[in-house]
Amino acid sequence: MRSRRRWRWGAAVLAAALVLAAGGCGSGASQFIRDDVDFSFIRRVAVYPFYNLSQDVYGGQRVQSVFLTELLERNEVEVLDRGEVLAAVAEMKLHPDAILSPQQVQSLGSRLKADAVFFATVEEYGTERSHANPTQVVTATYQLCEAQTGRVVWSSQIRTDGASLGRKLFGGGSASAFAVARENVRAALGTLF
Amino acid sequence: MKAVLGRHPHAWALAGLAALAGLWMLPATPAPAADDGPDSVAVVVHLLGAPSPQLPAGAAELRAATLDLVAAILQSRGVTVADRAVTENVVRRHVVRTGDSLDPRFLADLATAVRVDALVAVSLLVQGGRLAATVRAVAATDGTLVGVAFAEAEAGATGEPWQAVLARALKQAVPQLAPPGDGPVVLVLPAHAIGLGPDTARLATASLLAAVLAEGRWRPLDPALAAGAAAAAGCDLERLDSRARDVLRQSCRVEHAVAPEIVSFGETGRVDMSPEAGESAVPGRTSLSEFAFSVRLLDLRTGLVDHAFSAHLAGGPVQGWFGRIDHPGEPARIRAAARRVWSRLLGYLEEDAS
Repeated sequence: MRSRRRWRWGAAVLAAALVLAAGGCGSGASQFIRDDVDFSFIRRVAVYPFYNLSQDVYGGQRVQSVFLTELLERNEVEVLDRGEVLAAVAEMKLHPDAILSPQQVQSLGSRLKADAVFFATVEEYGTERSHANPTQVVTATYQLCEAQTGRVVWSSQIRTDGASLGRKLFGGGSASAFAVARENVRAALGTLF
Repeated sequence: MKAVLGRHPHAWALAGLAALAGLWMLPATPAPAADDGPDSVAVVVHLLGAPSPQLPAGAAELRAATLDLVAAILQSRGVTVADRAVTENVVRRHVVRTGDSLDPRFLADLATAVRVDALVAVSLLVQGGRLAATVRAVAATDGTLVGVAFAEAEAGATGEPWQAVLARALKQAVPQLAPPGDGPVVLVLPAHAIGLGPDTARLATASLLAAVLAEGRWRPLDPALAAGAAAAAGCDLERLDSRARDVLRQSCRVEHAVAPEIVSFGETGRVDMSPEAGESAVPGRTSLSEFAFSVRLLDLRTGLVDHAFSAHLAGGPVQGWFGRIDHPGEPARIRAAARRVWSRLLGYLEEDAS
């Protein structure tokens, strides 16, 4: 009796793993978190316009839109609206596609009354056609800079593709661009919150 | 949340009622009878795009034909349309060049000088063989919407005259005029589009406003009035800094705003910015294969985002019940997404209010 029950449990776990593998995306990540920073002091954050290095002209904005929604869904921090940040960027004559110095981060944080500022660089966004099956790919590096000092306190580089073991096994196509972008953002934020 | 619900005395009662009954259990709001709506209106038309071989109408004749058709449709419903010359005088006095940004003083002037109950603003886009019409009806007294609709018509290959295409679009686009409601006021800002053209942004805004109106308990302000108030103060709605937020709070008398955004997830290659590329580009709607429609609830006092909701719609055909395959058009898909996000936002607002 016991062995049959164990067999059923094993089958259920295997089935669940297959379902997850079939529906999911593949992610690879590397990350850095400063261990001398108390993240509970970061209550109010701004999201700087994402720097876009991908071949897709809207890659940065697309990933940023997903990032903002996912960040708000987590309800961990207060998030300043995009318009407020854009107004500050224009007022301070900063360029959205520029890497800011620690002093500029401090000034921006002070102008926005934000405890920290999120930055990101979208390196890849689009379809990878190197395999037999075209796959959606998003690679991005996310950073959080403390406004008080301007230094990087968290950084995560994630590559997500729409292929997965299940999809490869059962012949399914790539996950959609939205699903891959969301998985990328979730994987990144999962290392922070 | 008090501010989102506006300063209307019945706001809390309405929100409480909805929260108690549950959104999904309430019966659908019945369509208002035409005779309950505004009795007299002024019609203004704004044109976008350019004549094409399929729709070879000049701006003046297109405007005149639109005014005639809209007036005929409204008069058939028992609505009095103000004299065109009188309306035109007010339009010239306020230099109203676009339907996307209206000075609140223009609306006030219409109410006093032309003595109408509402403004019917028609935005007409001609793009190749496609003609898209967005019609908003705005109460002249308080700037709230009493009707909004969008429709488009395609000039066929059969050599159909442009007047027939225009009539087809306007017949669907002129909304039934609802009576000015007494519910709480909600400010919906013009939608921001990523990877999509301004006409899709306009459609997204109209779809969200239609979802708000159809639900029936809320009074959406016309986004063009918010844009007009911001422009008059030298502010930009795309860059809502503290000054712009103060302008919106004072002119619209709200503490929160709903900011919609529509994002296409289809690939868009790097654009060739050379003049040659611009000249050879064929005008047409950007493809909308896979997209997300999101709304952010902004706190106008602090500039913080209170919450955001997103609806994602995959591209391609939709499989329905019993294997039925549907191929919904772009407007239908955007409308469906708008209804979904508004329903989620409404649930959040009423849960918070209760």
